[in-house]
Amino acid sequence: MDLAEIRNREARKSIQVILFDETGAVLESDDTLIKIDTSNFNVYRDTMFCGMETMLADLPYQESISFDCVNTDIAGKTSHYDFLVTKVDEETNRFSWVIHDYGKQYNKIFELQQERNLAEIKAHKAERATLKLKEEKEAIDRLFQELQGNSSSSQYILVKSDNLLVNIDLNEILYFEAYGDYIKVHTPSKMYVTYNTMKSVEVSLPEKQFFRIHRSYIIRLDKIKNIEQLSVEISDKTLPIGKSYKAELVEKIGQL
Amino acid sequence: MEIVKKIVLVGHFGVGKSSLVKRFVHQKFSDQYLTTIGVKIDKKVVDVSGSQVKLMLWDIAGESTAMKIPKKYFAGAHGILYVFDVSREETYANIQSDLFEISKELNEVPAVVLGNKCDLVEEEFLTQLKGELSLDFKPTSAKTGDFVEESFLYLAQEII
Repeated sequence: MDLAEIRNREARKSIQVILFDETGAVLESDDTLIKIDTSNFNVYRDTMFCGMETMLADLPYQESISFDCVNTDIAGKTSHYDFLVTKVDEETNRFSWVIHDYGKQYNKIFELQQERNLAEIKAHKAERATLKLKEEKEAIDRLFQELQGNSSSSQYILVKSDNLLVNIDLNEILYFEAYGDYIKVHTPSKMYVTYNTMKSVEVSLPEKQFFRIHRSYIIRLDKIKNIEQLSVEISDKTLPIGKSYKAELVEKIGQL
Repeated sequence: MEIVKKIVLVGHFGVGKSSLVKRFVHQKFSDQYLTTIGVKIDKKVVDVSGSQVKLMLWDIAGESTAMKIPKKYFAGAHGILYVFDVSREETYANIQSDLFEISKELNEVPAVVLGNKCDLVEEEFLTQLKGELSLDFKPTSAKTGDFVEESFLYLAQEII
């Protein structure tokens, strides 16, 4: 027995070849790995190739498509396979399907991948916890400064968003938007969603800096880019002005 | 004649794609995290408006971005389930760009976004998250089974 024969004999143990036509009907199978009942097995109905009829039909002659590390069941046998499908006959649209069973090899990769993914999930968790602590510390520091009288409380608004207490600088705010039982607080860098009412937010804001232009919007006046008949432009957004708010807005702007 | 439809599940690793499939196909759940390598294919026959539909479920190994998913996995797909973990921000931080990336590959193919592990967060947080993401995702829990069957069947109906 020569080397080629020994190699081929070993390779045959883990490789199966199936020949099928354009309808997915199996014409031939060497059944090395899996016993295929050719009379009752269709590649496009019973395997992962479902839906790929067009893609395979469009393959140029002798061109192949491969799928690696596919964990699937073929005629009752589940393993991790590599597949290689080649168009072997252009006129009759026949394909060869080479199946490699790499179940054992992929099990080793699984252990490494599992370890890597778990480590990454833990790293992200630690990162989030650190960030949360940092933000909470900053909010507490600011509140402390305000209580000490070192800062004006009117310069910040405290909102609860994502289970975090966030102290937002009023100068940063573009506008508030009603969102059901919540309020969206829009800033140039981030949008916060907090449980509150427009009425409650409106009364807590400095009158000279903010104005309610609509049932659903309170804007920061110095962020206005343009005013049109019934809309204002802030940042890259166009917000509607409610008819009943229009006159007061014009008067307010005239006072600025 | 049997109708066969291919559904591809994508999303970060550890978001519960395989657990959703396991819950939907086998009505089982395990807390143990077992990573998927390559792609795992399962199938389930469901009744959609009186027709028997065989769903081929392609559970693709989680990646940190949709750009890393081999494009050939999407070939012939009839529907997409994009899964994220509502308790891990990094799994939805880039959701809009991921969905855009997928839509480039699969124009016109129905896609449903699932916010999984909703049993780990409060209802209030889910409402806030929907607002922040400006996205109407379906909150699911493979652990409790909440909205799992409904989400798969909803997508199946969208496809048919």
